[in-house]
Amino acid sequence: MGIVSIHPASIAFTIANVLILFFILKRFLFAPVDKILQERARRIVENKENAEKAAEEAEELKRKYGEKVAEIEEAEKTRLSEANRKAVEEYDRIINDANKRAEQIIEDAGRKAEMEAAVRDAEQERKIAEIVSAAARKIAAGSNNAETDNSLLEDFLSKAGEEDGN
Amino acid sequence: MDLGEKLVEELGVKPLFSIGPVIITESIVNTWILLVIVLIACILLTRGFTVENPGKRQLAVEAFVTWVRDLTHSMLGDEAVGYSWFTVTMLFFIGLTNLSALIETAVSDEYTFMKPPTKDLNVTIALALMSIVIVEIAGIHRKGVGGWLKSFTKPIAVITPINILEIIIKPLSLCMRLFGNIFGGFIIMELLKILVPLAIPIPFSCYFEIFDALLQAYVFVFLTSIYISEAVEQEG
Repeated sequence: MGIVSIHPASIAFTIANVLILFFILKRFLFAPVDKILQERARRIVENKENAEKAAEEAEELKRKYGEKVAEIEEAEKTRLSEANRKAVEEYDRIINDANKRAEQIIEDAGRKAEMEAAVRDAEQERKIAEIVSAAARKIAAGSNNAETDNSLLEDFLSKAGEEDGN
Repeated sequence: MDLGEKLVEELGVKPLFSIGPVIITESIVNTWILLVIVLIACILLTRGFTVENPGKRQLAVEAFVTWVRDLTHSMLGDEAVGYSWFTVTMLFFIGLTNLSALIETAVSDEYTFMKPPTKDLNVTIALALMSIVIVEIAGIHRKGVGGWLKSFTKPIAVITPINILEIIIKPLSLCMRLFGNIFGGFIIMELLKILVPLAIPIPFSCYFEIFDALLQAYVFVFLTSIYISEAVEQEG
């Protein structure tokens, strides 16, 4: 047996064996492992997508709620300012009314005072007329001299003064 | 039997039996046994794999498969990555056949169980032949027959004979390197066992039968990868 003996059959069988090993590795080692790895990668991608979707939805909801809150705040603000405006109007109206009424009262009081003054004047005129007519009757009834004239005048003046003093 | 005779006998390949004119040698039988072991190991290792909460065994297998794939991808480069199936298979084949020396047991004068098949020159010749065929197929596939023929005149026409010689030199060096290393390691181990049978051979055994075994598998695959990526390289 030589040191180097070539067996063509051995070479052919080795080539076949390498191909068989390739098949075994592919079918029984790489295929199952790849299946698992791919499935895991797929699930990871899926989970990531789901998480992203959920985050997006949450963001969308947050945005909607923000809008709604802003709307509500806006409405509240409008309502408040409306109420404020109405209150101011009401206030103005009440003050105006009060002012008007006060003016009315003052006016009424003034008119009343005037009327009273007029009544008093009329009274005085009436009294003066009475005094004058009484004086005239006395003059017509008594003698006409300077003394009586003077006493009559003084009488009249003192009466008129009394009337004025009232 | 003196040492020289024993080594010469070790070099030779013992035919175990023959089917008609076809002689089956022990290295072929040992390879078959190895294939069966690999098949059983693969089935057992990948049993009950789950996508969620993988066990330690599954994680180890996954990590190993990913590592082997990344290793061959990085050796081949992106362009030749399609040939990784071949380099992965080669890595397993050479690594396992080299490591089988660890459980080498002489059953009889005729048959040594798990005598590493890579110590048989015929096996390494077959591996080298497959390598060079794949390398040239990769080149033809990439460049077309014309482009592949033209690539022999690159980079300058003068070196065309050298390029043609490389078709023989590349596989020859691959096969001889593998065979020489495994056989050389075997001779050194045999000599050591004769000189100091106790304890001392253990670290050497670790070196030659584990480290060198895996290293040679790596070197073979690494060189094949380089040849393939060279073959698919586009010039300009």
